[in-house]
Amino acid sequence: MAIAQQQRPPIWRNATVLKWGAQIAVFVGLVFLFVTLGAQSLDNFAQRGLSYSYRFLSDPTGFVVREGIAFQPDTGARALYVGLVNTLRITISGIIVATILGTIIGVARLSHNWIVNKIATVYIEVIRNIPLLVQIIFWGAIIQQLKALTDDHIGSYTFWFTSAKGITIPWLFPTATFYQWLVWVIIGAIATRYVYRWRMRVKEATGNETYALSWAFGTFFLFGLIGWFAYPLWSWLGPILGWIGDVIGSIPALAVRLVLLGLVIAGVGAFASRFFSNLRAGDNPQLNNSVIFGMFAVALVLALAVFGGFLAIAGGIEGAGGWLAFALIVAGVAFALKLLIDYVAPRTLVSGLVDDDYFRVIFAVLLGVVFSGLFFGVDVIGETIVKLFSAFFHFLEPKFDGSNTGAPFRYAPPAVEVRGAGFVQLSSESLVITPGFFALWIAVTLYTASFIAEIVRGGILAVSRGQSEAGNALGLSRFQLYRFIVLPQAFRIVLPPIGNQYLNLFKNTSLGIAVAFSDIVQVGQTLYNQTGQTVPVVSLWMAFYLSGSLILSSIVNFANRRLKLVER
Amino acid sequence: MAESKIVLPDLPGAEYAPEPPPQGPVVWMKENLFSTPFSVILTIIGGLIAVVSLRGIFGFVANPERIWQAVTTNLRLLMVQAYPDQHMWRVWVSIGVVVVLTALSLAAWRVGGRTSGRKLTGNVMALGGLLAIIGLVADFPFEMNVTWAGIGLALAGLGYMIRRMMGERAKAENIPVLAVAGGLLIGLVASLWVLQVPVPDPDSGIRAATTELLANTTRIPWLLLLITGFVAYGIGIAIRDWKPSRPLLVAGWALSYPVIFLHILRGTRMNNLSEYLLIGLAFLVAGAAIIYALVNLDIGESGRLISGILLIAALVTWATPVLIIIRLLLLILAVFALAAPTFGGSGGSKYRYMGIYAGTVVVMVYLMLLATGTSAVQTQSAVPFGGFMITWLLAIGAVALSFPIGVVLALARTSSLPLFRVMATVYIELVRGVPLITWLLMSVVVFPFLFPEGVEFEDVVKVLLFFTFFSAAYLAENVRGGLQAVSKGQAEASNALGMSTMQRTAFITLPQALRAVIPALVGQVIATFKDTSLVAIVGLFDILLIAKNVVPNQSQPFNFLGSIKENLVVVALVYWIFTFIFSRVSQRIERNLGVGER
Repeated sequence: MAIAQQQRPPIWRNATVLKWGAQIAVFVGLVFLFVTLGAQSLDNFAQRGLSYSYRFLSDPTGFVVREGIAFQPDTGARALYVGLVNTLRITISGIIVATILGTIIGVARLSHNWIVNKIATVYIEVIRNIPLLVQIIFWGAIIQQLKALTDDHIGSYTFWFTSAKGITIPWLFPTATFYQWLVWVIIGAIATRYVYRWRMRVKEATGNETYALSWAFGTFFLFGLIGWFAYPLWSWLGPILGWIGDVIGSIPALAVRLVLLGLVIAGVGAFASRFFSNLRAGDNPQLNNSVIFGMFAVALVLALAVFGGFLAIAGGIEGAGGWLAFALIVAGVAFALKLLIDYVAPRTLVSGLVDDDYFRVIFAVLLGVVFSGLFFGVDVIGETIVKLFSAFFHFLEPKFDGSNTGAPFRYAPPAVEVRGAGFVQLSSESLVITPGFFALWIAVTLYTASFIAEIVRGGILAVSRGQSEAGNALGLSRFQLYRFIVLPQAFRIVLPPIGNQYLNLFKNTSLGIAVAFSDIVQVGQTLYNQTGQTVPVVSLWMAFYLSGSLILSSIVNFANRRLKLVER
Repeated sequence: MAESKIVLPDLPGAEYAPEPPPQGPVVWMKENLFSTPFSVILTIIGGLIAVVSLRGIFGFVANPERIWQAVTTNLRLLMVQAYPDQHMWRVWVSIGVVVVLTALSLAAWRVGGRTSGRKLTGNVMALGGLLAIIGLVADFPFEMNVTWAGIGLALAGLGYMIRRMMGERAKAENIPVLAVAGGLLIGLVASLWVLQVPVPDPDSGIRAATTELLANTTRIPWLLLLITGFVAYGIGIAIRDWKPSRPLLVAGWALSYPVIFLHILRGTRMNNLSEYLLIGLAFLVAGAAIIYALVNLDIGESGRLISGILLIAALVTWATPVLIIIRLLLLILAVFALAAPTFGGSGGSKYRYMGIYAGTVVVMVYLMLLATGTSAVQTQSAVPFGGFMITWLLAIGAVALSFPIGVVLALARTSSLPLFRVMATVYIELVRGVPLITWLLMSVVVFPFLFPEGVEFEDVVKVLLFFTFFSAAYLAENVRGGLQAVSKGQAEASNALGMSTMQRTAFITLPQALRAVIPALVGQVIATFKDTSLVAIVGLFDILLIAKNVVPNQSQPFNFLGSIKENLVVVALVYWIFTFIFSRVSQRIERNLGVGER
């Protein structure tokens, strides 16, 4: 504002004009490019008599998914869900095993024992330098060329059976009484927490060894044991769960939509207010009431923009009302930004609009618009949520039936049986790991473990020498040194890069397509091969992977924040 | 060590630390394998794992069911796919270019230290020991066990003998590593002339009919390449004190990619030679004149106006039916004109800037000549080679093309301009959040729909484009890390000197940032190199797809059905060799730069 009084430079030398001109020019150019390409793709689609739609999600499908929670999904959405669960199965089991294996190998890499050290080194250098896809296909080829089962295998007992159709290992399957037992286990976990704290308190108060860990394990085990026999105690939960399911099922979809809309607007509001309180937390003397008023004005305008967005999408963009609403969003966002830039930002320069704050606000508004439009505009979502919750409780209801008896687990030994025209095959009673799952799981796990091992090694080496020297000076044993001095400090260092490896593992599961593993990508590919709806399927993939990455990285960030040393 | 130290009297000439007393293998084993009870257990477990893995691996290799001839017979298919016979010399010339550049660079950068006879013989003995152990434990036929163990023991003995013979001289570090490497290469090439392998008979279709030399058709080219390499190394030693030799070599490496893949291997006939040369010449002369005027700091405001007009003219030409080369050259001229005040000045820097402009124009004209030329190598697809060549085409192409994009994205993400920052952030996070394979599938099923009918891309081009965009996002994050590592004082100092934003970025921030991220960039090359195997999923015939689908399905004239494991092992080996070399180079660079040392 102060500059306005001085002599302005000519327009082609005015830095502000040049900066904003360049930015807007590039932005408009990009938008123009995307709109052109998008319109062209719609045209090309129309020429083939197609138009983008997500109808395939609710249309019946005819294909068979090779593995997962359902082999013949009835709709496209169900098929994608089966693929999604398969992806998550590999991701979670892979993360657990890769972490353990990687830590062991990383520590072994630093071992003073020559042979252990060399084995770890060779493992890392070999696995890390071969493309993952080659490894996946190699494991797939190995299992594909396994010898067929013969009559000799019937009735014999080994730890596993292998065949080109898959691999069986001993497994515990949950039975009908599993869920009642699970209630005991959950109660046991809560009780364990309190017992552990109590023993630790006693230890701190008296200084005696109180065996807190043994107590905790004992409590947990005790509850598990009690639950093994006392599970019928919870059978009264069944009717209640069924009643809850009925009640949820009777909620009108409109109510759900309204609640969701409220949640979205509240979410954007909460986000905005957190953002503002961040600004306010900076102890800024210039941050007087008028600025705070400005902030609330921004929040109000943002909420209006969200409302306009959902109106636009709910009413369809056609028609005067839709365009009016659309104009409302654009005007709202623009006005909010103008307020931010002109009014709030210059006064808060000390605490400052950090890095991506503009981005965050725009992002929140856009997400708010999209979600409110989705929740309110698409009828199916409200109904689906009601149905899902109701189905969840109705699914639990029979699990708490008093007539269920038997142990909560069924032990399934690996077995073979004669099926069809006299072929010996893996028994359907035991756990059969499909070739695709096996190849993908083992390759991804070994591959990720080699990277985690290098990170763990680096983390241990990064712990300052003085720490282990101090530990040695205290006379700690090597195990104690690692357990109490080195590893806890290394853990803080390695957590962020290991989180990155988890993300890589999650994304690498998509390579299962090479060994016909039915993950979300493979199912999606089948879907668009059948329906031609490439862009919608791709958009669903992106939504899945982006949100998955976001969730994983927020878990890692949360752990990171909890573990971070409080400095200064 | 528990022994108490013996204090030596200060003798003249005793400034070197005394050699530790020679330890027998028993002491070594006691210290490294059996120091504590826990270590004993570890040694036993580790030894078991080692024996079982060695037995497994070599049992797999020596298993008579393995059809290794599937690989040896199809080696050319794996490497270059169906590249026509009469053009094979082009492949050899391409490898020759790389060999010459490598040899020259090794000489110019004085790579390779010296090693001692002790270390060398130690390595020979270790190799012999390993072979002997393999011979003892592996699941071979008995004669092979004996042979391997014999060879191993002989090698170990040879190493020991040489060390004994060298005596005290073995400790001196006076053997150049490169000479050893050269000797090994000579041995390798010599083995091509000696080693015999079983060869299938094409008439009867019987495998292992006769034996033939290992490299029957390629031994002469390899020999020539070896000689070329040695000659080039000699030339390199002669010219390495000439100052511009290193920059010229860097330029040579940069140009080698288009020269090899667009010119030699494609056998490009330049159709518009005279026309393009004329256009290029015109731009050279006119552009040089304009830039000569613009680098002059006295020109002031009107310089900006001229370059602004040039930029607008360059953009307008894209809407008019002018030759593409003119549009591109005009754009280059406009960019150089705009940046002239940044790099300009008087004296040497002025002429250097004009020289860079001239070089850019020449390269651009050359590239456009290649792009508009027709291929002399006739195959079914527009890109006449597949196999391992396509891996290199994609890996190097993607990293080279993505480098400028990545730098721009990183600058945008750290920029103070909010819209640029938002756009860069969205792009980077979107690309990184989604697996590469979905992007590659998009390049096949979505990307072609974005263009009007008639505009078609070769599969390789589409995939290369998506690889570039993908790799750019990761590169941008690496470069951003480097930018954040540059201390704030640097930027403040350049501000204090009155540098413009562009000058600060080009001369102060970016050079330091890029230096700090070189290891990460090599890591990116390795990652991209490994990622190129994914093109097999979208149906591009790279080495993996040929190994997985083509060779194991051959039944005529030879029956190689089901030979997928053998092929994959060789493919893995090929990938492994190159990634291992890359990672070693990366570690070396890291050490030389002293990056990451505190």
